[in-house]
Amino acid sequence: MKKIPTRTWQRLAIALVVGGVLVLAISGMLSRIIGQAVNPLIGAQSWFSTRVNAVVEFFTVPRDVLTLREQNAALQNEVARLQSEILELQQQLVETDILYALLDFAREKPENTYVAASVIGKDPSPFLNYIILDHGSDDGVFKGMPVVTEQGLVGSIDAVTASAARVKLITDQSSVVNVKLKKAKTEAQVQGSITGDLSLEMVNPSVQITEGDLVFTSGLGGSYPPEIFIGQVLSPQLKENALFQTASIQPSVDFQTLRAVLIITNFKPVDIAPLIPTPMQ
Amino acid sequence: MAVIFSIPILLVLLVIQSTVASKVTLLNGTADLLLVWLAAWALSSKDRSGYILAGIASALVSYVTAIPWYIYFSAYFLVILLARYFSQKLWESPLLAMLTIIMIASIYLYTFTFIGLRIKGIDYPLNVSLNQVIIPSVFLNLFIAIPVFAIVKDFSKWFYRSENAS
Repeated sequence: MKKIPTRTWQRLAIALVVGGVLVLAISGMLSRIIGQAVNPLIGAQSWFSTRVNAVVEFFTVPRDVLTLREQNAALQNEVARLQSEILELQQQLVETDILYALLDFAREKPENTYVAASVIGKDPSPFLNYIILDHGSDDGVFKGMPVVTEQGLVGSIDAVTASAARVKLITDQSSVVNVKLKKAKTEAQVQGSITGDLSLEMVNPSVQITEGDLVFTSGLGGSYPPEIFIGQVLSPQLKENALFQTASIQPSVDFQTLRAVLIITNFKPVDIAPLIPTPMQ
Repeated sequence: MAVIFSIPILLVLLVIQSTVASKVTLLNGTADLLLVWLAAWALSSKDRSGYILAGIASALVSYVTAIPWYIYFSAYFLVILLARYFSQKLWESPLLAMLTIIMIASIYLYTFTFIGLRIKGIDYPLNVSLNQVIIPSVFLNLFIAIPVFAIVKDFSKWFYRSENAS
């Protein structure tokens, strides 16, 4: 009988072992054993992985702080930009309110035509109460046109360029406005002063003027249209032996915070100077 | 060259004067930035550009204001004349010269304005003008003279150094 070589026995044994393992694996009997064998390995891997992650985080966190700082700076910039945008919008809202008020005023008096203008400056001299507007002859603005706000009379155009105009305020020392008092039903003049205060002049001493009486333009002299509100009588004064009564006036317009005005463009001032008789030589 | 450099500065000063400075008041007085700047420039500069700048500055202000043009012309030229004179006589104490020039020129400017407006027929009361406008304005000009002088001196140093370098 021929002897079977050892090598064949070895191969056969290996095939049997492999086949047995396969049978055990297919039948599911091996999974429990594999599970028990792998569990410690998984535990070890999990332990190792946690430590490795900790080490990786330790080295990568500073980079994250830098990123966060960059993000923080970007967000701060964004906040600053939005805040300035809010301020700009608030500013626009205030301007819109002013323009709405002017529009309401213009609608109440549809017989006039208006040009709205912004106040862009003040006369550099401390002696004068003049303001500068951003509209000029290109917009139909001419010398002598009255300037108003929804609160009342502001002044009249004193000089014009193509794109700007200078307004003499009624508070200027050289400004004189012919007015009438509503309650007292009399006419007078409102005069400005170097300090910007208004005073009522040339009031007949026989007329009873009361505090709070309303002052409107009379239209006399042709410099201003009638019925434009100027202010209220504050403190009437009648000095002994004086030819006229005087009073201080609380103006309706706040001249310190003027931002936008309306120019009445369909009013043509009348120059009555040639009609005033001069003394005979 | 100094004139070309100074024209934008004068324009900016005029804008600041009519928007900001005219609202910063002491009683009813306001500072005159151009006058103070001209005085400081004339004391710091090494050439005669001050005269041309005085002409430009007074033309700019006269264009904006309702004050007769000759008042600002004469006042600003006086500033330069005084500065040239004082820089020769009081060269060791330019700050003292600056304050003296500002005081004399301011008093001249506001007094001459007062007289000019009265000649024009506007009846300004002397007492009120003096107490409410002239004296406070002179004080304000003196108040801003020192910082303006420091700024203009630095500016002129930088300007002449860069001009010599080129």
